[in-house]
Amino acid sequence: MSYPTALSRQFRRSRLLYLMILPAILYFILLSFVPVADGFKMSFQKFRFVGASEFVGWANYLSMLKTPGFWRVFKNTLILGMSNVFLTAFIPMFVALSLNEVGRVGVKRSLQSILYLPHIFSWVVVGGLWIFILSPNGGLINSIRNVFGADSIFYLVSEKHIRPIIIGVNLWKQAGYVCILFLASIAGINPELYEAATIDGANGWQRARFITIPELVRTLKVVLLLNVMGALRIFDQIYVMRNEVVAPKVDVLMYYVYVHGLEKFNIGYASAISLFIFFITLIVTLLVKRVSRYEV
Amino acid sequence: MRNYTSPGRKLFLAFNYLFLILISLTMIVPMINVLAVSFTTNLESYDTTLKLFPRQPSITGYVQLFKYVAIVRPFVNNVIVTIAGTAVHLILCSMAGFVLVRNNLPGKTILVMLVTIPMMIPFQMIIIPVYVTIRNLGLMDTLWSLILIGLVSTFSIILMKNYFEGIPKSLEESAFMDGASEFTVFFKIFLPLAKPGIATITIFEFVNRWNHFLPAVLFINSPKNYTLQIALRSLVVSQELTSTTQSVANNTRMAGIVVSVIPLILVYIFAQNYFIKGLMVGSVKE
Amino acid sequence: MRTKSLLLLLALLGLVAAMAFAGGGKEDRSSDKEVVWLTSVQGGREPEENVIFQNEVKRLTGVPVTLIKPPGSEYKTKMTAMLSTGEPLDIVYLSAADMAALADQDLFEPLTDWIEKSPVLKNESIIPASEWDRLRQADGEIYAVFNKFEQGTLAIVRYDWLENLGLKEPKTLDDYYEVLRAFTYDDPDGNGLDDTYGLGIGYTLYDLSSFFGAYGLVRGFAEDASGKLYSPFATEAAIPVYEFLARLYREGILEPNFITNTSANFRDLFMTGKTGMNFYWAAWVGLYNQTVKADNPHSPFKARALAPPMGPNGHIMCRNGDDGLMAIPRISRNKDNAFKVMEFWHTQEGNVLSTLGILGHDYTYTNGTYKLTEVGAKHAMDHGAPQPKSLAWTNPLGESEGFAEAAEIILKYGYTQMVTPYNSLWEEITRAEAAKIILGSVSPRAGIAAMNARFKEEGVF
Repeated sequence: MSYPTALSRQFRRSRLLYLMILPAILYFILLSFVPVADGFKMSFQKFRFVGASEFVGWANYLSMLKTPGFWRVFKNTLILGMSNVFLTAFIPMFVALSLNEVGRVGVKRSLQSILYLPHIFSWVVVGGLWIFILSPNGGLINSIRNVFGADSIFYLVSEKHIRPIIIGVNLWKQAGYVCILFLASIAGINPELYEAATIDGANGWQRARFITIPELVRTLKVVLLLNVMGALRIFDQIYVMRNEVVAPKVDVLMYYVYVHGLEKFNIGYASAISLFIFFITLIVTLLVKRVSRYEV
Repeated sequence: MRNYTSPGRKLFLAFNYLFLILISLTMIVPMINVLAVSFTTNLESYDTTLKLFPRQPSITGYVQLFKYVAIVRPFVNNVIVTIAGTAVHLILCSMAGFVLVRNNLPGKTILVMLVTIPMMIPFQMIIIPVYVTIRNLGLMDTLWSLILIGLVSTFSIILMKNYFEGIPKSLEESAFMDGASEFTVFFKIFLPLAKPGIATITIFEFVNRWNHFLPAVLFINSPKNYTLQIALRSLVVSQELTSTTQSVANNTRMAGIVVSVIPLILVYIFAQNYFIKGLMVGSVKE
Repeated sequence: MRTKSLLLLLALLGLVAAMAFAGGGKEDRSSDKEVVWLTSVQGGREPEENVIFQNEVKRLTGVPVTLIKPPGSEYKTKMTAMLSTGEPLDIVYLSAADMAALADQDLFEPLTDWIEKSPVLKNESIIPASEWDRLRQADGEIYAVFNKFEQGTLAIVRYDWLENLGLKEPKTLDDYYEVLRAFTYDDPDGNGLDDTYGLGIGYTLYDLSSFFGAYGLVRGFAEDASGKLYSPFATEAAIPVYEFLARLYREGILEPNFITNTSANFRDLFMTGKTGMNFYWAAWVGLYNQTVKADNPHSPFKARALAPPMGPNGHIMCRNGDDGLMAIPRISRNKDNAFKVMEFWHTQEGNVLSTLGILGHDYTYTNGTYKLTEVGAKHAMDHGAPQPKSLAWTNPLGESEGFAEAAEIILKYGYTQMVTPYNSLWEEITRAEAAKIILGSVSPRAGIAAMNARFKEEGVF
């Protein structure tokens, strides 16, 4: 008799699952993994635009490790990147909680929309905007300072201020959209859970503690992970907001790659650095996953 | 049911509002500035001080934008690429996210790795190989190339997975008992329940794709395939070419920004319905 | 639910089908005669105009051309991607600095023989031999052809302010200081407000190069007697200049945003009467006047060019723009035609195309008279070479206001910065340290020491 056994059913089920994920896997192989392998190859070459490139073994990597400039940008990347990871994970979570308390739906929606606005603008626009706001002549911040009798500070060339500024502006741009991630997870909570809890006599704080917050923490782990995976790749903001004076404090690895790849046309070297970024990201991701005990 | 709100509660709410309003102000003032400048006359727009309302409202900026930058075709191209790309992205990523939530799947760990690792790859690293791939696929200088790039993303897959994990097991178990296939369970149970997640992914991907710039520069050569970002780039980014003679007033520049952002705002407002619940679900209400 | 999902699927399919019609933009470049031209400055001013431009080139040369013109800010990315993946390009526009950086990649065809045999390019009254010598590489070959006559950056001043305050045109460095100080503190626009700055610039050190020029110091690198590289801006001789500039900033004469100002920013400052002087390309003398008068015909605004300041030893120098060049990749399949187009660019007809634009679209030509159309006027007679390289060229419509005198100044006092593989390093290091000096955070001596230390660290010398 051909009854569907549990085993065959499971097999059939799995086959369908594999099919469902196939397009994604194919895409990644074609447009991520194969190119990375190529980039990997290029990092061991003295890349020639036309014709065969000669293999130089570890020369690019060694040169990278020996350049003080490289370590400086690596440090910057770590400082800026990891600050971004944590700030743009925790602060939006609190903002989401705060937003959730707002009574009137109309107000809630408007506030949330406003919070999200900066995200839809490109870094070219946001960067330019903040350069203007922070500038000594005509900038908003300094105008306010002047009203109170303080001197203007040229924030963007101040080595003291520039890192907090970069981190702050990034938070300003991203907070709204990370906030949405949290709000969406709250919205996904089954309302029956709250009803049941209320019936059982739980008050507001208890409901939050046992239902809302665990859900948020679950999303927090994901957000942290996603942040980490992209943190070391930051580029656009730095490209727009950097200047030569503060460069030693804010130039990041990707900018370094850009300069070597596009201005010096040293593509083999640039590939080596990119690969380095990739591996470091891998390691840090695994670390964060371990620490936050995120189950896959 | 309106309960009695204690003074402590009132204080809490007051601080809450203050905090949110302060933050919102910092966000909205610059945006109002952009909008205001877009509606100024040419001369007034050169004035660099902060503007909240144009002294002499004028639509010259927009007129010049449409007349001299010819953005209609790029705009349409952007719409096509973004809608198509986002739609397919949504389907593929939610399916993938679903697969990663299943428990008894052999080889799941490998699949997870295959899906997460790509996000860690800096795009600049793979520009050249991807360029060659697109060319070999015969997609150079077509809108298809722009749709293909970013067709799936780790980000969306992981997010969908996260939202799917919030769905109680009991629901799917009963469905399987009735002999449903995985796909049916996905389609009829998980997808509808993950609406907030879907809305979130939709917005992010839409915005992301709409603002996509580098792929368009790399893969598009013919003006008729230009996307909006390319058309606006020379407008928004002042260039330091040797002896440039391009003269663009700020109002046109801002008008370009406004025009490129409006569709995003519309999509956002539409999607917002799905993750703002009406009632104070889960709030710290007495 | 089922119908909804079905509808969604259909919509998706419909979109996909729509794209099939919208998407096919593949140009057939398999034709052996067509020349593929990658550029960032030449061609139409809007993407649509590129097509008309192509046709015009074909009409005038017989060579079919395809123009690829990405946005200027991303040009290098595109160029690098195309060159490194073997795209069959025939003409590539690139700066002299990029050519130098790519020298060891051996990408381009040597053109020396072709230039020798060209009646147009070898003609001394069109392009003097000394200019070609500048392009010669270490192996004696010339690998590129000029695009245009590179203008210099020179001082552009609010002449009406000078007149208001009864000042004479500044000649020496001290004069410049006096004028700038007056612009800042003597209310030159007569509105009773203290809202003006003397000098408003963007921070590339192109602008300030004229001040260094007053002491005979060239921008970038130079070779000393033994042929070694050194940076004139990082020598003792530059200290007076730094002191001058630091003084301008300290006394509030230099507009404070200068380090983050883009060129658009300082142009706007100048046009709205916030600053009285800036340094910019000669063509902008006319453009400033044009732009302001277009919106406000009654404005007293009058922009004029000034000769660069003369230093205590009589030096006057201003910096020319870096050469923009056209080269032919070795892998090109249409080298003959490519060269033909590049040669055409320097003929009379080519010059008209690169300035006024396209017949019938940008200008009309009836009974021997040229006349700009509305579109042409908007394009300000710039289609890649607003000032053609050819010395034999005179613009049939005359130059824009103030341009002629500006051009004269540049011819007299201009120099071209030397191209080395370290140019971008020079920019990075010199700008950073010079900024600190000007802002007053470090003394000129300390700043110069820092510059040289950094150059050494990077292996320049």
